[in-house]
Amino acid sequence: MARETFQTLSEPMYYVLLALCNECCGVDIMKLVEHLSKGRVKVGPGTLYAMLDKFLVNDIIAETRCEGRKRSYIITGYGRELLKKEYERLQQMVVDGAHIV
Amino acid sequence: MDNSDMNSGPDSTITYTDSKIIKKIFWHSSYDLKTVETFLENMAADGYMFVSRDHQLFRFKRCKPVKLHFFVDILNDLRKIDNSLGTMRDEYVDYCEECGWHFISNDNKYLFFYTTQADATPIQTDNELRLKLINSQTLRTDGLTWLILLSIVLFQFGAFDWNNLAYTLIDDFSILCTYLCYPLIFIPEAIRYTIFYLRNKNYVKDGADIEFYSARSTFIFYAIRTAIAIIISLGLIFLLSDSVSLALFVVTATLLIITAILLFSNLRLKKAGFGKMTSIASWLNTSIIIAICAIFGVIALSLLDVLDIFEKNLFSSRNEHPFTLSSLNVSVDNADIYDTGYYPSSSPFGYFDSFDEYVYDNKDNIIARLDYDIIISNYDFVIDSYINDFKSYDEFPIINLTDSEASLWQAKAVYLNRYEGYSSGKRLIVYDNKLLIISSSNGIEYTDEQIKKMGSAVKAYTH
Repeated sequence: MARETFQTLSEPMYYVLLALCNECCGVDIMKLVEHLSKGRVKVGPGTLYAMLDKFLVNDIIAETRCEGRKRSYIITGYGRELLKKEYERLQQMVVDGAHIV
Repeated sequence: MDNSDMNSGPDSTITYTDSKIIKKIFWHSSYDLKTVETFLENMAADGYMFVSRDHQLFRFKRCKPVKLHFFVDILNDLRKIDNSLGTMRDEYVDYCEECGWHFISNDNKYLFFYTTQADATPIQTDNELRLKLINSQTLRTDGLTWLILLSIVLFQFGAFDWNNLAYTLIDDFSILCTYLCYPLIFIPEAIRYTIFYLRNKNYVKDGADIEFYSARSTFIFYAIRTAIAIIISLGLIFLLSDSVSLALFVVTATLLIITAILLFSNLRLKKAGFGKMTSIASWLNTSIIIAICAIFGVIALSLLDVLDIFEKNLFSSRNEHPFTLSSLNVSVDNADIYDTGYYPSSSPFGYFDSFDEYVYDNKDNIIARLDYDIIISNYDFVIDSYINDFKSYDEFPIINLTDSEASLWQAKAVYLNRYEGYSSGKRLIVYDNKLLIISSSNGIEYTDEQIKKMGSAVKAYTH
């Protein structure tokens, strides 16, 4: 089933969804991802294009505006759920690791 | 969509010095993306700006030398976009251009971009996705070709008469070898791609980058593969006598031409800063050029009858037939003799010749006929296969005739195929390394003297 694909998110996916917590488009998403990750995560335009398409098809994001060929997106409720789950999973990993590392 | 008509590149970094299009063949596989990128970067640094590609043919325009970074992307089959908003490719290109990548052109699903920024984020940062796109595109373009060619080769191999090795290994030998060339060319390519894909599938799972074949290894692969195919083809021409498949000759000539183009292109490539070729590749280049000139020269001289070195080998020539109606003292007076002898076949497995002589009267009635095949082979299994092929036909049982008949023929054994007498039916006469198959002779019953004459002639017959 399609939704099970997003049970865990890759780093680029996670940051793109973070960026889309506010309405955003195209290259702005890429810049925001780089900013949020402090330069650690970079998403290429080709990768982003494919990712947004996948998110759209799976109702994780929704298109808000379309000006010519420029489209804006925002995360959906379902997308927020996924993001939150991923955040909690990562937090739990940090907690589990804190006892040992 | 193509920016080639502009006098300068989209970001004015590129200044064209000439509008003339320069074409160049660069040999690569569909998955050699990095090799192509390196090639284009080297060409740009040498003052040739990439304009467009059509399979292996690249087009350039002269420009001032410039340092650029190229990226070859593969367009994914994404969701359909409402056409009123523009094509999917245009939207994709917009994304890339917003990040500093300039679109040049596309060759089917391959998109070509360049940037002047050394630290530009690559268009594809998801290596798993990139490998998946490479795989689907390669299977779509090359995979289908490999499958079709393999099917053709298997089908053609199946069409040979494997029950009669004498026929297949002697008469069809050149064609058989021609078909072997196809797997030799395409199977290594398929293996090379399989190694590339399986290796990188593990790399990307571990988060590493895709490891493409280097430009140098790509060149060496193609040079060696072409050289092997040419050596085999030329070797077959020299080995085969009297009956050379025209198709084999055409294939060889085509391979030679392709090699010449490849070498010429790669000589230019060396100028464009491709890098130092290995000593092996350089040796291959030189050897192939010398071989090409020598072979074409010798063949041309032979065709012009200046040299007769190939006279026997490339063109059908034959020894005198061991016997004819005339040599058997069969009266052919007042008759028209029509000789329909076939060109002989020869291969490392043996020699096959056929003789068919008709004698007509003035009313076009056949009054006499001599029809026989002769096979010479040092391999028992070749001659045995011919005999066994006859034995396999139930309606033509082979009867081993008496020793006295074999003695008359001075042969090891004589088999009769179905009919009594020489006026109809076939006889298979077996010698040490020869087989004579003599057919009906329209009413001529051979005398003992004629049989002895034929037997002696066959025993003495050489090729």
